[in-house]
Amino acid sequence: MTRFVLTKIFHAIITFVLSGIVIFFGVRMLPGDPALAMAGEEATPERLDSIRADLGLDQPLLVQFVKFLGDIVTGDLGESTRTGLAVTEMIATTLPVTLWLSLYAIVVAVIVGITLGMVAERFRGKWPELGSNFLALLGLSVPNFWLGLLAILVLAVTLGWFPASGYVDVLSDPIRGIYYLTLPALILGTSLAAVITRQTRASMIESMGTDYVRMARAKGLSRPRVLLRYGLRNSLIVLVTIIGLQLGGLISGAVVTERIFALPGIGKLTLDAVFSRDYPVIQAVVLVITASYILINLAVDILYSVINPQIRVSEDAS
Amino acid sequence: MSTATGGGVEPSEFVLEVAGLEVSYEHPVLHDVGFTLAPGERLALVGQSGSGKSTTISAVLGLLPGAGHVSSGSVKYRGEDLVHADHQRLQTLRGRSIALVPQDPMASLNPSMRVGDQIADALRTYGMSNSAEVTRNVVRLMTEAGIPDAENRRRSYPHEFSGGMRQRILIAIALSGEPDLIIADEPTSALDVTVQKQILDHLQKLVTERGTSLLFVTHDLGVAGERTDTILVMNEGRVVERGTPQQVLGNPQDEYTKALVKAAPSIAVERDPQQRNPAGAAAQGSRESNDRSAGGDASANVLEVEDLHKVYKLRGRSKEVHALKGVSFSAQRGQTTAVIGESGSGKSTIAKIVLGLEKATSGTVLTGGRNVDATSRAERSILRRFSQPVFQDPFSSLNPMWGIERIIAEPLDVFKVGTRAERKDKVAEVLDQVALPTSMLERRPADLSGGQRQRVAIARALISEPELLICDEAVSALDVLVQEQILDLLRRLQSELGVSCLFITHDLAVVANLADDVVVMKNGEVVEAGATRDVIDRPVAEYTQKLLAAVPGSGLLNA
Repeated sequence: MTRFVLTKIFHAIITFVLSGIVIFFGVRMLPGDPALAMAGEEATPERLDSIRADLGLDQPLLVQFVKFLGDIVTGDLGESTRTGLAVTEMIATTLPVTLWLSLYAIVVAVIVGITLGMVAERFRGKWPELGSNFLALLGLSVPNFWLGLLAILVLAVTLGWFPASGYVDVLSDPIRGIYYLTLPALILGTSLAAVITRQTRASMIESMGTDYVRMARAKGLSRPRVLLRYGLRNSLIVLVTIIGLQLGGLISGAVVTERIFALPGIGKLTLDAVFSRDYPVIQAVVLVITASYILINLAVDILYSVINPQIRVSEDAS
Repeated sequence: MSTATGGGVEPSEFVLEVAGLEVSYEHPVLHDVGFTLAPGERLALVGQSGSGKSTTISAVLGLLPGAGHVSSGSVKYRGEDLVHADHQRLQTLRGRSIALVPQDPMASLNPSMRVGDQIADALRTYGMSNSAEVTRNVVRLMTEAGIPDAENRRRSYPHEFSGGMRQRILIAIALSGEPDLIIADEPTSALDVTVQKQILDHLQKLVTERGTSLLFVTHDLGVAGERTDTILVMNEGRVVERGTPQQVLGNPQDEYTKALVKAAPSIAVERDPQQRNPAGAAAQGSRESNDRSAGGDASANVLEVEDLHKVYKLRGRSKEVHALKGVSFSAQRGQTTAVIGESGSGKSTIAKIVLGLEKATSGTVLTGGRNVDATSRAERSILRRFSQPVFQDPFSSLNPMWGIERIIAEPLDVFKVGTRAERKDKVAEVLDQVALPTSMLERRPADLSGGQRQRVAIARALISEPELLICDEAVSALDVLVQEQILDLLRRLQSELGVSCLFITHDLAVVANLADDVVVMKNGEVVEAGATRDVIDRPVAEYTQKLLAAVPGSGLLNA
């Protein structure tokens, strides 16, 4: 098991280094000049040169790259060419917003999705299954931004149940913080919930039809016990994989959702940085998103092996 | 726990009484099934798949799938009506009074739960709460079921056990509620024959010690005859015959039972001399001349395997698995050569190497005098046409998305043989050879029965006119009557087409019925080889003797 985890961590580090290279060169291939963006169209060539020298952009690409790597290791991601603030600080203020939002969305999606999926399985061919299928289809096909606008109009403006926008730090005021995030999290979690509903239904139908579930019933176990320990537990193996794959979509979904609800998250930071060719910020943000992606997948891999003992053994053997 | 009678029910002398049982889905599938089971009695329900035996036990357990329901008749446990019992009551009876040993040990344990927990799960449900006591009993039950080192093994997951060991765990679960009725649903049909014997012996011992009644479901008349007091033969949802093993096996009355008894492959049955044919006789002659010329004429051999080794390396580890350790044998043209052994003996590895699906580590394999290790594309194509496979599972070896015609014609497309019209004719021809109607061509595999699918698989193998058919457990997934039909077909094809056959199997009885020569394998080595009759009548190797002794019902059917 330890060996399995160590191997996975090693793989994660290699992936991170490789994506660092891609990010660095990728950003520099974007059309546009940050010096020009900072100084404006009227700037003299001398002014542009001095800005480039300040940013280190006059150095050969390779030198810039080595500096970039060094900065990552020392945790100094430079300063924003747009605001002059330290990039690490900008990320430190925006990242928690996105993390809370995503986490909340996942929790909502998992609870709603698994419940709806299990209801669908339990009442196959009856109206609860039809209802569950309909909701799942709706959740998958209605775009995020439309659903968000609709929710603001109905739930926030007309009914006044939720605030239409704004953010309160979750740690300093948990109740108001969660209250403010509820609507965005519901919207962000919708498509994930739909995917989980469908997957739960399919996996539960499969696992409830297996011989070991029949055996569990023949043992005289109670229905809830059979459902949870024999049915759901084996369905989770598939579910965790699906959820892990969907989390990537959640992050890009967060960019849109943050814009609709005017949340000061990393999505908003990214958009602003791209429009102003703010290299250090773009680099850092993409790096952070990549890192969280890699961490999520690492966590999914490890979780997967905890749920499914067969994976652990075969991976150990290899 | 044994006297779990409900209020106001008259105690019965029978543990289980089934009377006039009719089970329906959209239409009735069981008709008027009735039997009784006294305390300590052992009753066998025998029949093919679809005969209704599994439906009967599902009805007894109240576990009929989907829309299935008891539409008339009664099931009584110690006088208590089970058909109208509520959910709660059935749940209480299951495990504690009526326990199940299921059919497929590979699929009947929760793969994500330690085996000890799965036994403990049952014990806790039956009211044991002290966790030290639960653990103690888990270890006791596992030990009694014949699992060594139970103290440690209870922490293992199902996939870390062999099939036989998993069945022992399921037996431990069945015994954990101290039931007075155990329903064993084909408990060993998925296991090797020697393991099968151990498990059945053990189950029988445990059941006898406890005085538990046993309802034993099987398709194997031999197993039923040896191990039960009463046999009930079922066909198409009805009980067609009942009696003691001696009556049913020795003097069957019903036509269906007669067919079953006759079809039951037994090593006592000699290959019918009348089924021997000109081609076979010619081959026989060539064998004799072969024997005389000591060493033999190479052209008489369709397959020659010489000092074959196969080593599998486990990825990233120094550990190696020797699947084949210097195997040598030959198969004669126009004859059937059987390779017999248990799982893990290396017999399927031979099939893969002969078919060119895997490469040998060392040694040579010649089919029709050509080395299967050929490198050029043209040579490989010739080799592929020379030998064609028929695999074990007709349910998964046919592409479910394709029509039968396309499946059968595929080899012709691959080998680029003939025009469209010629291919169509050829398909009709092989379909006729395997005795399937042309109306089959339009259908898909899902519309066909197991036997029909295996005929399609054989037709596909025949269409490129191979000289050697490699049948890898080609009948072991089939019911006994269907099995007999397919074996007949293979015999007939051999006489009509003169095709040679390498028949890989674990079933000695099938070998006795079909093969001219037999190669007995164990752990990657040949332990004995020779003419089938010689090997069966005068086995030399200890292992062969053990295999012969393990064949269920050999004594009974001989008598």
